[in-house]
Amino acid sequence: MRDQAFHDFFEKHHAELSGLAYLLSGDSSAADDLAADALTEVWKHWDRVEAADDPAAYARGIVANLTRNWLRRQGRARSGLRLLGLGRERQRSPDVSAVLDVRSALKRLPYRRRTCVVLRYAFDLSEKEVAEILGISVGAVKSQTSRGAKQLADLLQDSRLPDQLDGWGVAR
Amino acid sequence: MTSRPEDLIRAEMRQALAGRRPDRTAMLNRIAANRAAESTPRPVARRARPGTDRAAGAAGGTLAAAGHAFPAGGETLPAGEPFPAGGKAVPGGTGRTARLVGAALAVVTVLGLGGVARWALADSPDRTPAAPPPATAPANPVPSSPVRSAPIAGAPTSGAPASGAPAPGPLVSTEPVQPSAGGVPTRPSTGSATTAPVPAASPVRGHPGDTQVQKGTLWSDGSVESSGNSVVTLRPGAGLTELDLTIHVIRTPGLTSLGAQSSTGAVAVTVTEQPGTLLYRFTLKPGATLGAGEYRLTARWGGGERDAGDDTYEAYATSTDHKRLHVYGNFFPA
Repeated sequence: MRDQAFHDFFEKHHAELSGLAYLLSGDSSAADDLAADALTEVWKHWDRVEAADDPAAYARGIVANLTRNWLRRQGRARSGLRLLGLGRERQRSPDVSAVLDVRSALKRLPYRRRTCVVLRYAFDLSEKEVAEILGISVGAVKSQTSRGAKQLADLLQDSRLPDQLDGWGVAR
Repeated sequence: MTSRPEDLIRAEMRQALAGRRPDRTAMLNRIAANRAAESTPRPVARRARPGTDRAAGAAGGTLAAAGHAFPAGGETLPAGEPFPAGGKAVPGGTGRTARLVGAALAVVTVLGLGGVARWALADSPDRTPAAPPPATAPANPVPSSPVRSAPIAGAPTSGAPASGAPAPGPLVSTEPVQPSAGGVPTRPSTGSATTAPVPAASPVRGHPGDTQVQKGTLWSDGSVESSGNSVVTLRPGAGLTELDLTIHVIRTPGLTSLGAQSSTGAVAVTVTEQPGTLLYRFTLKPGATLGAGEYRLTARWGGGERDAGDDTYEAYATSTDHKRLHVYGNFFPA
């Protein structure tokens, strides 16, 4: 019974949750693991999930938390490696943007901002839904989203020459 | 104009999502592994190359799927049992665990193959040893002590019978090559203290197909004389400062040693009767030198049927120019 319900939930949402973890983490294979871990949590607390107004939002919130924790661990690991002189810090100056895809552009956004932008635009959730998922106020979502969207668009457009902009237009 | 940034990032993110398919099987397996572990989700390993990691994850997924009877490739899960409940802890469905398990399996496989290879080599009929038998170890070419070895007189002895029945121990008797007058073999008074090396357990070189009758300046040959002698002929092209020759005569019922003789007096001989083999060992006396020439070293035997097919000889020598020489062969006609 519970397994069946969970399985339906999995089939319905696993791609979306993995995509969310992918955009937030920037790591494709880690995204599947993170989404699977989040789904495990969903299964563990299935009663609570079912009772919630929006089970999918609950799962998205778990993905966002797990991804943040994962990124922190990655950051610690990287700085540890740097301390040991092992990690090779990529030489990148903010002025000279290399070809920047949306994933690496997203990585430059603060996590909260990044989460708001991704949930709001990649998954077309309302500001209220985003606020519930992240446990913050709608106002915070609004400001975070608008700042994040602008920053992200700047990053993406800076990396493109005007003639590569296609239909997006040069003017802002 | 105000919606431009949103349109751009929306399109970009959607494009990024569209270009990617989540690995559903890997996710299912990880969930199953998480549930089996009944603990907090394991750390997510960062995997740098998604292409290969995808394969690793899939492999790990297959492992976990096998352990759980969990449908890995199916499109839908069985309705009644979408996830196996409980069960033993599975090593994991993640690429990290798969890599660990894979590495362990690789180590076990390599070690196992090595063991099998050693076993196969040890069991192969031509018995090519990895190391020379200890009886003729080059590091200790002249281990004999005066107590249990006697110099050979230049003249052949009259074939006096050696001590009779074989004793049960691996080291039966050491006897002087030249018996005392009257034909009664004289046993060394301290015979019980003999500690000649016991090479029986080690592979023996020199069988047909595993011969090296010439090395450097040393040439050798083995032959059987109808009178009951196994003769090894050595022809060093240069002088030898060390020599350690062992003749292995495989025993047949009733066969006993009748002593040994050498065409040179510079060689000491011990004969060891082992249950399956008569060992005739010829060692150059310390300080002595064999000049270039030809030397015949003879193992004498009698009393039983003879089949020299398995008899072999092996010699270690050092030439005067400090070359280590190692020859081995058998008694088939050249």
